[in-house]
Parts: sequence; structure tokens; C-alpha cells
Amino acid sequence: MKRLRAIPPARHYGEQLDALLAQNSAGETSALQKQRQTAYDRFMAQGIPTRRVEAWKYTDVTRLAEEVFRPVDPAGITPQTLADLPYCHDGDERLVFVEGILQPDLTQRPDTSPLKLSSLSSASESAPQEVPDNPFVALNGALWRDGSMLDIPANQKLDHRVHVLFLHAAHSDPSVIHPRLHVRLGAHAEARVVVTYAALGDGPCLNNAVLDVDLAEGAQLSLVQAQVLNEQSTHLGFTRITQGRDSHVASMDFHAGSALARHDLTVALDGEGASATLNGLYAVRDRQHVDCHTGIEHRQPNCSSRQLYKGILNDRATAAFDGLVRVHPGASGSDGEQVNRNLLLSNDCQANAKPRLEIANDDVRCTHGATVGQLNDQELFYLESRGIDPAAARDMLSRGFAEEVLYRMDDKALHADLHAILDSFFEASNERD
Amino acid sequence: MLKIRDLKARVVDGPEILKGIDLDVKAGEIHALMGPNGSGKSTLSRVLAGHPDYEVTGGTVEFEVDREPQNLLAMEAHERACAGVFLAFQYPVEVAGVSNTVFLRAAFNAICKAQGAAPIDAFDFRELLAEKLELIGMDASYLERPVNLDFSGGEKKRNEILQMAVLAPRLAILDETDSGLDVDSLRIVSEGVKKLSTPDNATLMITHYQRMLQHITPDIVHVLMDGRIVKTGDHTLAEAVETRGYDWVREAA
Repeated sequence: MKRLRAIPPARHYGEQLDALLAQNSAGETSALQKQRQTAYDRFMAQGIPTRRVEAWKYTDVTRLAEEVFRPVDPAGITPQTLADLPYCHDGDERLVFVEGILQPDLTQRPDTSPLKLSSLSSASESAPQEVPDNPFVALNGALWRDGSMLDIPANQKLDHRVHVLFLHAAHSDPSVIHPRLHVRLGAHAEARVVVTYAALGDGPCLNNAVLDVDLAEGAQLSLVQAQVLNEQSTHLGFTRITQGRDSHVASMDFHAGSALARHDLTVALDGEGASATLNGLYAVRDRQHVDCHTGIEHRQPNCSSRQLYKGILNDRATAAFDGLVRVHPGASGSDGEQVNRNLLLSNDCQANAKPRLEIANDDVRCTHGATVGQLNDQELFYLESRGIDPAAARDMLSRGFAEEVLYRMDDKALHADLHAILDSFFEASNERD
Repeated sequence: MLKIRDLKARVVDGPEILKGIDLDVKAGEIHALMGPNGSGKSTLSRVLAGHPDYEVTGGTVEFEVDREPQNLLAMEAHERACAGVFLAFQYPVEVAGVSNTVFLRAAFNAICKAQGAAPIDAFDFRELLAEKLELIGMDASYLERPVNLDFSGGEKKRNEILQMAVLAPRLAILDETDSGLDVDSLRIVSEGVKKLSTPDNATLMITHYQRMLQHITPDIVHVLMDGRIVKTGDHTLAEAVETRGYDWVREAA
């Protein structure tokens, strides 16, 4: 078994596809149903990758070949449930998917919002143009139940936040969601979009998300993805951002929750002068594992990308970061910076960093760096010399480590939300100390 | 207040640096400890503050807390700070991601708690800070910046004195606070230190040069050489060292 590069998935995946096709509750066109079948065939052909595949070297997902997660009917979430979630803010435009299905009664939309919302079940362009070499994207393409297209028309500036929640309600059976979302900004449009993946109970779940983002010329997007699933859950995320000329995206990729998380974030800088700022923060403890892959394609001249991914690890947790910055021929004046820093709070945790540059051009400025280390003794002593006890000093420095990336968020409310989520991470870590 | 007897110390597993220090500091006094490079000045300051890189190999240090002498060497670094010992670092440490205000308030409240006082709320603390900032000529923009991060040399030294002003220690040890300061900063910092000196606290200024002593007249001056205090006198000793050099002290000793 160990020598195989992929394991054939069990039959239940096919059964789930058959059930979806037979039900066809959304009244899908035959073209769309055909897309599902094609995606499924691709998934079966690729199989579940083993750690012998370089891209999956640090993340073992082979148990997904056998383990059964089934879709659950949406229930158990009320407006009050949402009101009680600390990261739901009044005034947001809010789309709520429960068990992968959009809930109109939980959705909150300002009358005047310029955002156009449509269902991917009816949209003809729901199929990604370019199919990545990733079996879980294929699986999502086969089994997604509901999804939305968010269009922000050209020259529109959204003053409010758009918050899309994918919620797993509290239930004990292993459940699955294949979130699917497509965000498009027209020329010179501006928006703030937050996508939250959350589990409200502590039962096992699989969250297999695909997010597509297209920015037309001059569009500006602030994108936050917050993965706050539970400690029984598996998160597989795939985000594909395509940027036109002079567009800008600022992304915050936040992971604190799931037992296992794997996120692939790719950015295609397809227009001259496009820029991307990609920030990331992951916090893992116990035996949690997180694996973030980024791939930035500098395809046109004078684009810039800035990446800062930081990780905090405790107990026996493990993390991996694999970042590729690729400068294509002709992309002169490219400016790429990639930094990954990991803070180890215990002797048993482990972080692997693999920053990569592929440059097919002379006239570029690209830097990368990665560190894995513990808290700095001199900083600890400095704090202690002011009366702060060692545990509090460690806590303060660990939060400071996180703040170094979180402060880059302009949105102060979200900044506070993410800190609050980290609070529970540190509290849980401290309880055992 | 502070009574050091035959103190010997070294960097962990290194050669002995302090070879028998005797020093008495009383409330209300300002002491200057001078000495050439490598004489052990900074080592003494770090040993008193409880730096983990150093180990004491002999001698005693008593520090009076509520008129009761306590064994300072038995306390952890943070306990010493809570008891009223403050070290102004020669090279203040940069702490990314932690704002000056958050850091100072945590320190202030830790000391309040240790001394049985109620913690201060953010609003009252801001007022306290405003008053102390004025004392050392810093503007409020320092407060929201991460501790010492990208501060100039002079700003870092001022920030040390700001912390000293806020934490109101009973014994302040200033390790080469005058180094790296331009003339104006030196004057401001010295004025600040002078204003903070009261009959109830004491200051131990560690310095290589006499620069700071031109602004602050110490009550007692010690010369440290090769791990021992070789000469003690009044402020004229500092002037003599400045004009005649350490060799003169060595010969006189």
C-alpha cells in the first residue's frame, strides 16, 4: 500500500453522486449533470493521493478513501444561532449555507446592495475553465449541492462587508459539505468578502471547499477565509484567484479549528500591474495538522505579490507551508516576496516550510524566507524583568507573533474576531500547562 | 535597601566575571558604578535583574521589601521586578506585535497585583501614561507602536526611562543608559531620571563615561575593575576618572 501514489476511493462516493443525479432537486440541466459525472470520473481516475505524491508529502488524507461522510439535511440553525456567533456582525450582507445549501430565511441582504447573487445550479459558467490536478476539486465538482455566484458589477464599491458562512450544524454522524462559491468583481469594483467555514457541534465532518475569484481591471478585493471547524473535522480548501490589470487582492487565510486542514491558494496575476497581498495565520495544537500551499503566477509585467504566512504550533501539532512564486517569461518588473514563520510552543510539534521561486526572467525582484523557532529568550527575559510572569510573558509574545500578521487587516472588527478565536486557542493551550 | 556581599557570578558555564562584589545602597541615594569595558558592570546589572544566562557562584544579595531584607537571588526575574527592582537595558529588546501600551499596562498590573493593589483600567492608565510621557519628552505615538520595534537608539533609551517612570521601582539600575544618546536626548533622559529620584527609592547608574554624571550628581561613585569594586568615593571620583583614566585608579588601588 505504501508504495502507491493513489488509492482508489470507496463506492460510497459513487452512491452519493447517483443519489444527487437521481434527485436533481435543483432541476439541473443535463449539461450540468454531465459536468458532475465528468468531475466524478476525474476524481476516480486520480484517486486519493498518498504521501508519495510530492504535493501531499506532509498531509496524509488516505483515510478519505474509506471513511464515509454523508450529506445531512439542513436543520438546527436559527437566526438566533447566527446572532450568537461572535463573528457575525450587524450590517453585513450575509449568505448562510447550512450543510451546503443556501438558506433564504437566514440570509440577510440590504435592499440597496449592488451585489448580484445567482445560483451556480442555474449558471452556465459554473464549471472552472482550467481543471487543476487535484482530486478533491474534482470531488467537489461532482458532489456540491448548492453554490452561489456573487457578482459585484463594474465601478460599484460595496460599503458593507459580504459574509458567506458555510455551517455544519450540530449532529453526531460524519457529515460532508462541498462548499462552492464564485466571486466576480467587475472593472474597478471594490468589495470586502469574508468566507467562514464553521462547525457548530463537535461531530466529525468533512469540508471540501472550492472558491473561485475573478477580478477585472482595477478591481479591489479584501478576502478573508476563516476556517474554524471543530477538532473532529477535515478541511480541504481550494482557492483560485484570477486577477486582471491593476487589480488588487488582499487575502487573509486563517486556520484554527480542524483536526486536519489543507488549503491550496493559487493566484494568477494575469494583467499588468496586478498585485496580491496574501497573509495567513494558522494555529494548531494537540495533534492538529495544517498544510498551506500557495502558488503565485506572475504572468504579466510589473505585478507584485507579498506573502506572509505565520503559524503557531503547540503540543504534537504539525504544519507545512509550501509556497511557489513563478515568474513567467516576459513578466519583467515582477516583485515577489514570500515569508513563512513558525512558532513552536512545545518540543513535540513540527513545522516544515518549503518556499520556492521559479524565475524565467532577469528583471525581477523576488525574495523568500522561512523560519521555524521557539520564543526568543531575550524577549521573554525583557518582559519578565518588568514583572510579567513567565506564563504571561509567553502568552504575550505568542499573541504578538500572531499580531504581526493580523495587524495587516484594515478591517478592525474582523481583526478583533480573529484575535478572539485565538484567545480560545491560547486558553485551551494554557489549561493543560 | 540593597546589600551585596562577596558576590561572584559568571555566564553559565563560562569564566567568572564578578569576583567578589560588596556594595550597599540606601534609600534616597544615587550611585554611579564606573569601570572599563569588560570589568563586569553589565554582568552585575543582569545578575541583579535575574538574567537566566548568568549564574551566581557565591555571595549574597539582600533587598529590602517593606523593611524586611529578602534574598534577592532566590527570586525569579519577574518576582524581583514586582519587589521593586528595575533594569534599564543597555540594549532594549524589540518585541514585535506587542504594543507599548499593552506591554506597560501588563507590567504595571502585574506589579500592582504582587503588591496587593487593584489593577488599573485602560482609561486611567492612559492618563498615567500621558503624565509620564511628558516627563521624558515622548509623544503619544510611541504608545501604539510595538515595543522598541524600529525605534532609534535614543528612542529605545527613552522608552526604558518611560517604563521606569510608569513602574516606579524602588531600585533602578541604569545600564549604560547614556550610551548612544545624542546631546538633547541625554539631557532629557537625565532630567527624567533626576525627577524620578525620591527619598524612598535608589538609583544605580552603570556607565563607562562620565557623560550622564554631568547632568546627575551621584552621591557615591564606585569604580569596578576586573570583577571587584576597587575604589569608592564621592562625585569627585568620577571627575578624577574622567581626567586621569582608569589606569590611575588601578595604580592607586
